[in-house]
Amino acid sequence: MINIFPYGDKSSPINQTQVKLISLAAIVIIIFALILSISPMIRYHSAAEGYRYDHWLGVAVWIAAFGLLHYQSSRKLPQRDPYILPIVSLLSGIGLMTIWRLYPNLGFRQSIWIALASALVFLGLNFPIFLDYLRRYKYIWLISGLLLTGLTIFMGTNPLGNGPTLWLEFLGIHFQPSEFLKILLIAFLASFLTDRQVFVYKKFDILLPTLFVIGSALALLVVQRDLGTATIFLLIYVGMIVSSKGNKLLFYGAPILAAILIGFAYFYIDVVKLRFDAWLNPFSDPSGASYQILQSLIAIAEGSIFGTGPGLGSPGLIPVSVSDFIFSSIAEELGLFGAGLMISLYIILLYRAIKLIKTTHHSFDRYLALGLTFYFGVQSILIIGGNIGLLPLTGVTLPFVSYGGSSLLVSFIAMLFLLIISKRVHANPQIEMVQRRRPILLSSLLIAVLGLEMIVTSLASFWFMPSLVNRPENPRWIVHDRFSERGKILDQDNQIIVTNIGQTGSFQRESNHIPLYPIIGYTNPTYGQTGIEESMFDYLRGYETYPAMTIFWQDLLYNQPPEGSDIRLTIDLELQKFADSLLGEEPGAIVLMNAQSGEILTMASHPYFDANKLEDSWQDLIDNEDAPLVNRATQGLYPPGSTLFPFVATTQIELIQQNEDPFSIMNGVPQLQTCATFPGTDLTWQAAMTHGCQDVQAKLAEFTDVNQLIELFQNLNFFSPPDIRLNVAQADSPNYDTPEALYKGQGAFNLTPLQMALAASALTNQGILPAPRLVNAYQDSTENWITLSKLGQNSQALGTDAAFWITSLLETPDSPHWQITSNVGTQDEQVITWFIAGTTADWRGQPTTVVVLLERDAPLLAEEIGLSLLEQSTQISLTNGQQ
Amino acid sequence: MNAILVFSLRLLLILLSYTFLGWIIYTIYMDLKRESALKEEKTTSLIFLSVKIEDEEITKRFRQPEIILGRDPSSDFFLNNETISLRHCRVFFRQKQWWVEDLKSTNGTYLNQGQVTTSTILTDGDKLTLGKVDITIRINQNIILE
Repeated sequence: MINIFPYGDKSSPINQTQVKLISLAAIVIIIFALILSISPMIRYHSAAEGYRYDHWLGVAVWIAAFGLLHYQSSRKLPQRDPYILPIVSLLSGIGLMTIWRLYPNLGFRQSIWIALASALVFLGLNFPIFLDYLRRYKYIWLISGLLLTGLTIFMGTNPLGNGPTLWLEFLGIHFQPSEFLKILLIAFLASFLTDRQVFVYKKFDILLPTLFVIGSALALLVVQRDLGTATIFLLIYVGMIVSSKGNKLLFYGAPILAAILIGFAYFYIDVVKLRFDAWLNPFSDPSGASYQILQSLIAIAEGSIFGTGPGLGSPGLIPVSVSDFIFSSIAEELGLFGAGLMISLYIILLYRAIKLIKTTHHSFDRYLALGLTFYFGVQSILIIGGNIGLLPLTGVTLPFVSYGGSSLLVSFIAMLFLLIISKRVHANPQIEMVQRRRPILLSSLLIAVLGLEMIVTSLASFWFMPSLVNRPENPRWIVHDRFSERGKILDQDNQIIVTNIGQTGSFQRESNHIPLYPIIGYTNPTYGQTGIEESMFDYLRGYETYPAMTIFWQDLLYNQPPEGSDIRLTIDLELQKFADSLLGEEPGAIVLMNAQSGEILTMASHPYFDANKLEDSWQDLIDNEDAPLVNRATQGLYPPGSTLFPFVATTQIELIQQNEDPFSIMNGVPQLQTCATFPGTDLTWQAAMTHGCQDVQAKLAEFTDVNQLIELFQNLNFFSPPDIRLNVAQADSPNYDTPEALYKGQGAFNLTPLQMALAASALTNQGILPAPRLVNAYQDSTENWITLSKLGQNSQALGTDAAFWITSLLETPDSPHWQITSNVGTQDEQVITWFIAGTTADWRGQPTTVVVLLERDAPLLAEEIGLSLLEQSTQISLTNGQQ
Repeated sequence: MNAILVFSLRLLLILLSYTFLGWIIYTIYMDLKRESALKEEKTTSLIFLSVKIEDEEITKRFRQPEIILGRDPSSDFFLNNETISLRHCRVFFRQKQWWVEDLKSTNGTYLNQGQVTTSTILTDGDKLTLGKVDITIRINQNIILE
């Protein structure tokens, strides 16, 4: 082992152990810094990004500080405990590097604090006698500590500008008196207990004065809303008194008192209630109360066993990642190995402190060591427990690791105390005294709790890892999207619809046809994902298309998914553009599909939005009554009205064949104003259906049994949402109580344009209802196109003969197509227009259907749009049904 | 290439930090072993202290390595006699021997009529005099406790 630190007596085994451990810690920190230096090149996959250098300043400060402390401690305290300083060095080194990795400016400040704290310890090592001054003038120390803390009520500031005012500002430096009060309180209790132990004491001789002191300290902290520190105070106090005096009253009283205090705080202090609720139900309010704890758990899970690697994870996504949640930040980048290391270091630190309680001869030292054990133990347990969801969050700092000058200074002073105490321990340990069992038992409990926290951490990073990582609240995919190129979205002829612009680190989506966004969907860090971007997430990012080993290595080496795979839609971009131009500014939807294969050639929903301008226009989009964010084709529910006519007619073939025209079943003159367009004076069945005469349809439906009707609609999938790789609206369920709605296609019976298009396809496609297909294929890692199977199955919805009969009946003279126009009032008194059309058996090409929906009463416009589109797609000239 | 390098460094980081941990645990373990060996060395042989008060002989057996004799009721061997100090003397086991040491008592401690001024080795059958009280020492050398 290379000893890079100079030290005093080289032959002393204590010095040898310490120097070897600190050297090892230094090598660990240097490797950490080295990885940080190279990490940008890994993230950006290129050398162009260059190295990171700034944090080496922190490494230099760290080496200098601990080198000096090692040197000084081996000279001044030859008989010290050789483990304490190396443990502290590794903890603070990992903390410093993590802080620097997150926020270089805070890392710089933390380096200064480490230098200052080390200088203080350096001085303290020269004057170990000061412990006696601390003991002798205990009241002065305590009162000045209390006064300073009290001063924050009047002069307190917060370095962030808002929040609890727990800091005092002096020459531009903020410091937190309550941190110092912790150590002063421990010293006070230790000297108080030492003074009192000589006499035969009564319970209240000890209890009352200390209760007064702790009470006033707690009152100050509660007034200042520094509840985390208050909790620590209380626990240290109870721990010290109970373990030194075995006060049964306090031992049994403390949990009751704690329960009362917590109950009181729960109902009267908002933040306590918030923290407790979030702790009890971490998944209940993922964007509000339990946001922090959930993000922390996700980060730990993201780290898994090996961690993402320093500089390669996204711990910046955890709130307050440098102080309250630094444990999760470390766990994300160093994994369970790193988290386990941290907890083990605290356990060993506690073990060494407990050993001092066991072996020291001086009562004051013993009580002080006891207090410091509780200080380190309680604080690390509370904060780690809060990070892993085992305890409610307390917002205290992790000793030696978290960012924060006051906390670091006090932790270093506590370490100095331990070092001095360890020096005073007799070289040849005496036999343990009986009365020391209790403090050792109680402080060993702290180690046991830390062990439990280790188990819970491993549960989060191993057992519950997949479920946590895959939670929708995990925002890391947004980071991945910026660093790994997503697959392109192509139309059926491989024309690009959506591609990426920018470069590694700033990739962004760009669309060649903005009106298609309601179908493609958006990808946004704030608002999430919709549409195809959402449903094809795993393909566009390569998770589904690459071999598992590739994904594994990509994740292990880069913490990134591989470059995504392109997907090919069934959309025909030319037709789509034509459809969007036809629809123009009209709120409505269009579905054009191949009736046989179920391939959707065009899907339009207007008004639309631009996914690249969501941030600017979000509020407008949300407030807009026309709901541009909704994909009307699959999510808009509209009453079908007399578009149901041809389907209902298939159940009454005989009736229609027996009666040459509708007049004979109408018992009078049909009300032609219920037709969408004028059907001509001599009303035929064909005209009544084509022009959407609701009066006739309702009459016809009355001849049909409601059960028969429901069976028909079930076969047409009117009561089940289509299986397509998009968000679809929940389908209505059949309601036997209101058959009126089913007969008229109005009221509590609604369909989406896509459902309607599929049903229309069943007419055109010999009664077979095709399963829809929107995504055709993906390109695998070897650039071969692999066809994606359809999600649903084709089904026989109508009899082949019935479908043939009805399309023949409906067929427009001189044109191989059928068409139906209808208008219908919705429940909110709005009139909408449907136009559905399809090719007939006379057409030799691809059987095609089209559905146009307009959110106003415009039958002629709907017909024009639908026919132009059908003409364009089939390349035939169609004659209008009216002529 | 960089990725492989960083990955190896990450493995090295884990390896070295756990070496650090393992080292501490190993040295602590060795310390404990040495300590318990020391403790074993200190295992006492049985010692019996007998005192005759008003013709009644009281014998007490001790296993602990340190016995405080005195008038203080909390002493290990409690002797209620006004010629004896609160903490009069100390009998302790060190280097496989029983020793006696005077604790600055008022009337002094005598071993077989000689005053004890420094730590002195006791043997089986020795007579210890504290003030006006005589104590007989019986040491069973054969029984070595675990």
